[in-house]
Amino acid sequence: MATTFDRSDPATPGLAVRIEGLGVTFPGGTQAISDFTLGVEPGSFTAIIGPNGCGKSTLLRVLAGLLPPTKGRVRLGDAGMEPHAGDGRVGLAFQQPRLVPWLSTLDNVVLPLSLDRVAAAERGARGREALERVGLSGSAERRPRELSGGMQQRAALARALISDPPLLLLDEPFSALDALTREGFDLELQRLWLDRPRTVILVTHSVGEAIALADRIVTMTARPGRVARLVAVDLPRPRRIELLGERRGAEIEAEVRRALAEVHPPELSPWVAS
Amino acid sequence: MGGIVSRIGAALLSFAVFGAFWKLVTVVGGYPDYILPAPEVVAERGLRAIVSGILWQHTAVTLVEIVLGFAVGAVAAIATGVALGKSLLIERVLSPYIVAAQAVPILALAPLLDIWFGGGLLARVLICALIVFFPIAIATMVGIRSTDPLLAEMLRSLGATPRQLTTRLEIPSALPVIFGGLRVGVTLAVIGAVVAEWAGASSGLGVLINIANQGLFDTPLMFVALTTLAVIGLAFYGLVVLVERRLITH
Amino acid sequence: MSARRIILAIIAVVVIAALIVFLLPPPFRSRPVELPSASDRLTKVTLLLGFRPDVQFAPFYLAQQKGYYADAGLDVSIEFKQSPDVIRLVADGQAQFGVADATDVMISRTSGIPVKYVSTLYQRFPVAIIGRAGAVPTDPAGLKGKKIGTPGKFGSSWAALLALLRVGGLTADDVTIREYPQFNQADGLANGDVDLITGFRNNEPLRLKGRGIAVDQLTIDQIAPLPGPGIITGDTTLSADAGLVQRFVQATARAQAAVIADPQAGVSAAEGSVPTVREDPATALSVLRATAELWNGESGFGNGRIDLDRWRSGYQTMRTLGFIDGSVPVEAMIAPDIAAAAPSDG
Repeated sequence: MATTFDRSDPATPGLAVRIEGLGVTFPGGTQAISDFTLGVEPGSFTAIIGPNGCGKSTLLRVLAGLLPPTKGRVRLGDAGMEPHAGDGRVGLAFQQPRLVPWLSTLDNVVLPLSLDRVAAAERGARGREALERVGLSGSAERRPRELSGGMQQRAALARALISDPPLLLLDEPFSALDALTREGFDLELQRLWLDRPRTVILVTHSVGEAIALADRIVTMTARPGRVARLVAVDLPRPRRIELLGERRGAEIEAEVRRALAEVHPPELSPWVAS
Repeated sequence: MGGIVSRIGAALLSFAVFGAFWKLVTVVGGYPDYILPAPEVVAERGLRAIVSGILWQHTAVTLVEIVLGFAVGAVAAIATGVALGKSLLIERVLSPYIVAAQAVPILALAPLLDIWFGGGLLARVLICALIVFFPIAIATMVGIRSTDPLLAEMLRSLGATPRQLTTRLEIPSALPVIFGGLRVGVTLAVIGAVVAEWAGASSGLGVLINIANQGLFDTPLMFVALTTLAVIGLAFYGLVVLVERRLITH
Repeated sequence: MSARRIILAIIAVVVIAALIVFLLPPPFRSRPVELPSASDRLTKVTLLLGFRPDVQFAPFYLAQQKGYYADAGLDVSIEFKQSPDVIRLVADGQAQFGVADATDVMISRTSGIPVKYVSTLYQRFPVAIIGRAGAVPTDPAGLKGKKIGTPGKFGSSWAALLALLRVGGLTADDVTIREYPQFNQADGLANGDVDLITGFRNNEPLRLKGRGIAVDQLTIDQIAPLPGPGIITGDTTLSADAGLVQRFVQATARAQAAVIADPQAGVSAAEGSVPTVREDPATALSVLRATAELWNGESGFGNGRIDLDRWRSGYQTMRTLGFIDGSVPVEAMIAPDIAAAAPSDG
């Protein structure tokens, strides 16, 4: 699916996202999301935190066009179009790298282009450029199994960004990495976003990660998920990890934790038989 | 380099041990040549058959049947297996017939097939293809079903069409299992060619077995034909493994 | 793997092999034929017949049921095997007697299989060229250019066909052969795929007549004589106890005479063992009658007498056709003395 917008226009740093009364019920009756309403400014970085099973991943799938809403609607961009998987407006990275094992790293990164039948020469050039941006230039011909977990996730990110989508959806992309690597990746993600602005929605469990990256943090209720609280993060950029130890950072962290405690107390208390 | 030498060495050693075991059985059991010939008797008979050209004359016929039968059967089986793997409805509708066809002894069906399809090479290729079909189809179906759903979702998020999903993900990811089916299938192709010949052919290694057994009362020659079939089976199996190694690099 | 391990593995394999072979049940291994000397007990012997129970084996069933074998001190059990295995198993001593084609005996004896033909069951050669009435040449030269259906390029049918062609100055290249490995060449004749077929004179003509097709036959006895099927035994059985062989042959001849005289009695005797008899007794009777005619030669069935002239000329024919190379003389293949003795009273 070819891109359907004009990325060359600097006035469109990213897509606006409007979610209106979204409800998602699975066949079988489970209601994952209920009455979810949120407006996301173009070019902004939004983090969503919530308890397990609250529907965060389901929300991202609806935004990516993989799942249709049961109720309500989602509109992307000024034209207010509905999400459509693979039209190039949305880049998606998952918790697992989800690289194709029998393709080289380069071929994995250019997979979206290859599905769109982009010519091989152009694919190669754009692929190498994408790899360089994430620091994987030397691994172009390696197989995924030869890469470390962090390197695989970087390749997955490069793949999500290769069509330069104006909306980037990240579903806990760094949660499988160790904490130190994760902090480094968070900084790199910030750098990539500052270099080339776009709308980003990041689902995460890490309060620190959310504060380091986002303009606004959305807490979600337990299933069926809806917006619980919105916490603005007005820290200056570029942000350093140490910010969390400083006063304003600590204040924001406390506010976020209070908001979280409201929606999932059971997880903060000791293990009890449920 | 050392790897190939030790592999060939191991193979030769195992052949030697097998030959010694065979000889031991004939000696200790006191079997006459017309019931269980000793390996050197079979070897000598084989040499004569090679020199007289009779072995190649029949082997060539059977080789053609095996190659064509396997090709036809494998292609049909992979296509069917993909359909079965992707659609539960197709599986429910088709699999009773496929399983029933497999359960009916092909030895009984083969003569009928031979008559229906004109009793020539076509009939024999079809019989062979029928015997080869089942394991490859089932392996393909299982392989397609075991596609990683996470990768499938990732591809869908990139806008892959259903056809792209099949050709770019499902089939390549199913290749290891498919090749398991192909390994089984290629050895069955050898059996299939012989069964097809027994249904109505005038030359081929299966026919040679009959001629040696019933016409010439030449048991060593029958064993020569059997050994040749075994060697052919080994060679084709090795070819499949070679192709597998090239295609499956992960 | 170290050299020591490899050697140990080989030793283990050889030891296991030896154990397996020694522990195999006795029938698997060749042993000298031990025939318990019967005093007031009957000697157990096995008779092997090819393919499957058929009404033409009526004399054997009759001899069992009327006690002809018991009178001869024999307890005969009948087993069915694939035809080529009959000769091999009898030669190896795993069974004492079998029924086989004379042409197969010639070929297998030349290949070194130690069997002997001891009694003639069919004084007329049972195979003939069969075709629609009016379409069968009376002279073998008339076979030229015909399409002929036959089970395969082996066996007594193939030998008979080649022998006939040779008398007509032809070879297999002068005709078109169509093979019917399922023995259904009569179908090929019926639907016109072939002009002529090889078949058994007591079988295909009756079947075709039953389908409303009148047939003619070209028989070989006058043109290219070959000996017909008979009783065989292994060299070891014969040398161990020639008297036993003689008693079996004579008791069988006695039963054969009884069936020739009264085919219905033969049908009744076969009823219990041959399913087709129960399904269609009328056809079974006509088949047995036709069979009895083949048992009889020019001068009766001779109690199994072996026709030495026919054997000698048949041997030459087989040699000329290339089925045998003449390395084993015809005298080694037959035991004419056995059947030459006078039959016991019955």
